[in-house]
Amino acid sequence: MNDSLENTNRDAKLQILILDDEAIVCKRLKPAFQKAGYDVETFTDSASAMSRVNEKKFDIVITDLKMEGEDGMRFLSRIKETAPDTGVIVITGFATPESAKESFHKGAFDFVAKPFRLSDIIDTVRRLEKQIRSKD
Amino acid sequence: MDRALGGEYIFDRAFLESSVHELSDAVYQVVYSLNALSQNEYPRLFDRFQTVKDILDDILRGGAGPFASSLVLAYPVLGWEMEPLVGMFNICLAEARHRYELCAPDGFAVTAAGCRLFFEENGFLKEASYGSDPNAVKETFSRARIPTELENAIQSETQALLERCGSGIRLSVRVCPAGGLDMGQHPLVGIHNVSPRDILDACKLELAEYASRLTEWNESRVAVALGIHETVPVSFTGKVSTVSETVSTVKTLWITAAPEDHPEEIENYWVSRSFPYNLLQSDVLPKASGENSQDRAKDPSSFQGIPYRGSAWMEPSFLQSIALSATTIERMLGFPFELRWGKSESENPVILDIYPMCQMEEESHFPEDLTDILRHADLLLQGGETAQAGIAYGRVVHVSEIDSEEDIPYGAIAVTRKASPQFSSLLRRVSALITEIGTPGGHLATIAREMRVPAIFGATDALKILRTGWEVTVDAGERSVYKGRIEPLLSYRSSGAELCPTDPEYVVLRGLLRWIMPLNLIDPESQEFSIENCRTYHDIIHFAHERSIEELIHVQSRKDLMGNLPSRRLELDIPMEIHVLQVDGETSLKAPDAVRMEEVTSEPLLAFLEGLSQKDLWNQSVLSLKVKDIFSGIDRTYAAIAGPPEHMGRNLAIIASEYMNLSLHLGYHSSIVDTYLSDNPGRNYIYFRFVGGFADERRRVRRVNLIQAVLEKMGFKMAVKGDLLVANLRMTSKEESVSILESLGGLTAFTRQLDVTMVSENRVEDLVQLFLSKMSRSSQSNQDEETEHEKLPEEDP
Repeated sequence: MNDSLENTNRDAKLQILILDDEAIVCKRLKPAFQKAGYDVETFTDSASAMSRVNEKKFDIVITDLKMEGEDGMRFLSRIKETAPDTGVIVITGFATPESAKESFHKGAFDFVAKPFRLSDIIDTVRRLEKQIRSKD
Repeated sequence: MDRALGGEYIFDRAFLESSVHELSDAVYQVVYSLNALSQNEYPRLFDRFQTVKDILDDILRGGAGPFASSLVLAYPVLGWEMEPLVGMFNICLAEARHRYELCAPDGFAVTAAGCRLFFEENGFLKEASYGSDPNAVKETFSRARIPTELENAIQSETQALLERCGSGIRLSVRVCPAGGLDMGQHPLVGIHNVSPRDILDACKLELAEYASRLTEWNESRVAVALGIHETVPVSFTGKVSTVSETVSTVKTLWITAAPEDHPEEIENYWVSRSFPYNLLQSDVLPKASGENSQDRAKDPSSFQGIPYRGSAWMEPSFLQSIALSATTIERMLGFPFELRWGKSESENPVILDIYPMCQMEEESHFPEDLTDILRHADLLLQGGETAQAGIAYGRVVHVSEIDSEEDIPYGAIAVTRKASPQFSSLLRRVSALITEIGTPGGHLATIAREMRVPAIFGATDALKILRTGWEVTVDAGERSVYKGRIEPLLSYRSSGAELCPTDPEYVVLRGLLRWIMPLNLIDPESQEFSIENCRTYHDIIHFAHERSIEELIHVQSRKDLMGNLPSRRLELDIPMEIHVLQVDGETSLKAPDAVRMEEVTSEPLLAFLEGLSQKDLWNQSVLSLKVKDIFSGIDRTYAAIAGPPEHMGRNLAIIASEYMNLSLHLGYHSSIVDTYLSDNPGRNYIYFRFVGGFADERRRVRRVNLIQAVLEKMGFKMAVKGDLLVANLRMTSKEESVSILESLGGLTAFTRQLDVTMVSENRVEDLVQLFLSKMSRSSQSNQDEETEHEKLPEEDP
């Protein structure tokens, strides 16, 4: 089954890509979202993540903001250029009103400051899922 | 920060850095404020603060804190945060023995710093400086010199170990990689049965064995430590693997066993992964007739229901003990591992080795349809707060503070009313803990995180909903309890969503918390309660808290301070004067001198005054003082005139809407009530201190006994010394707190000047009963009034 077909099926699992240069964040978020019923791929560098985005359509991208190399804000812009329907959630340990405003301006669905509860980020993804499924 | 250990939060290094900086600022403010309150009585507390702050900053920069330069470290002081210094093997044995009280050998570690010193002093840091031939390497190492400083440290620690374990023990020496090096590899088997006097040679030999096996030698390969521990004589050995194997759809632990002198005679057992660890399958060797296996094997009839193929090496109860150790360590580590065990002379399973198998379960073990499974599961309870994330299965047991620990079965899901610190030791036995009252910020929650026991605190009606004996599956991270055993959910136990001790962030967080959380200063009355003994931020805060309460006792004598504070006299309908100082909201210096009762917004003060103003609790009759009474009190009269502030000061209530610090000086005794009262029971506390009196010491002590008897009935924890009583009560609901504060107010009125009348021991119990009956009548009268009030027709607008 190809990716586009997968995503038109309302019962199919949503595809999530997580990008954070701190390995601990990827390591912990992946099983948590798998448990919540999502397919998850994780990346710790933005180049590999962007390369994967070019190969496969993801429903949801969760990205850190401050990273080595290409930062999350640039990654967010490129995702929105490549796949405008993909919902993006920004997570950051350096939250400022300016970075939040810029994220929303670039099309982020939500902006979550670290540390956050697992249940909170899952709730955010659930809200985004509802929006995505309602569009379907 | 402590809560981040519990697996509920996702965080990164930025969080750790900002948290430490915020905390340091707050602790500095505490130290500064105490000195401001006391006119700089405690300047050395700034020094202690700076010492702890420097340690925390060092850990944040990647340092190992004050232990970094230690050449040896005894197992009792080891914690996860020291893994980079001593390696996983040493930490596992130390944690298993000292934190979880499992059967594991005692010992000590020669740290990575100690080993590095040895390499450096002998010029072994240069690549292949000792040759590549294994025999040549061993020859070179045997001629190497252990630096005197390291030699003394090893011998001193060996002596300490002999004192702990007995002088007749033999020792084992083992190289263990430190700092996460070679985590997936089985360490060397080590050298065993070493005489303590040969320990230095054994250390060199073991390091030579390690060096001779390396294909390349570089800086990172030097990051090794040595584990030196007691050699435990065993009759059987075997392994336990926690990597899931399934028997009839049930995930199992796989245990092997063989006689120590016949290691090829291996038997296999598969037991369930939850208490009582039922034996599900076995692969038992047939025993030849006439073999002395009867001496070694145990009762074969114990394996009823299992295909009988001869007597087994291990009886089910022994397998159960091994499984209990394995699942405890699995919870401790958070990932699958293999454990080597031995059967000691005392017939106990002793842990000989622990090494990780792989970091996580295979993803294929995750059930695809878990969301559906949980949607259709019987969700019994959802709510509360996660104290420690994790998934557990077991039978519900209701636990109260009067229950004996031995009455709680291993593996139970303990459900309690309050998160009382008294349940700390219970956490070694249970699979999960659920409390109706308590918060993740409390002491018991900290212990649950230390022990990594799944825990939900503040789960309303948990005792009512979860019935004793029910089998349940607890998902503490989701704050959910399901009826029955949800096997697919249990598969997630080692999925990696939790923070594990091998995660670098966990190590740093634990390293920081070691200098923040522990409370070493317990008893304010002890001589040890000093600035010099403040070793953590918690110590500093506790010290400052106790001393600030003392300062508040004296605060009204401080004309310099009080002259500037806008305290106002409270208009009371009782023969007593209380001044109030409002510390929240807006307080105008131009406010009237007096404040009316209806203007008071502090709930604790209102509750206290409700009891204090009960007219029938005030003994209005003039006391009949005998000459003896006057003489016995005359020293206190002179003392009062001489001016100790507690006898001279005003009655002062420092108040906020949810807080009260009330200092009362009634006649010749003084009392303090320090309390916080909110909708969150986990934050509520009442501190009560009572001291002094006019009568002779025996009568004063009798009055204190009376107060103690009443407070005991309210659930206070108390310390009494002569006529001094200090009482604490925590985690009461708002309604309970209000009722108790009313009683304290009533008790204050009732016991005023009562010491003079305490002529016999019998009077104590009589007056306790009298007080309780008066309070009861008063409470009933209030209820009647409220009922009457409710009956009154509403006035027309």
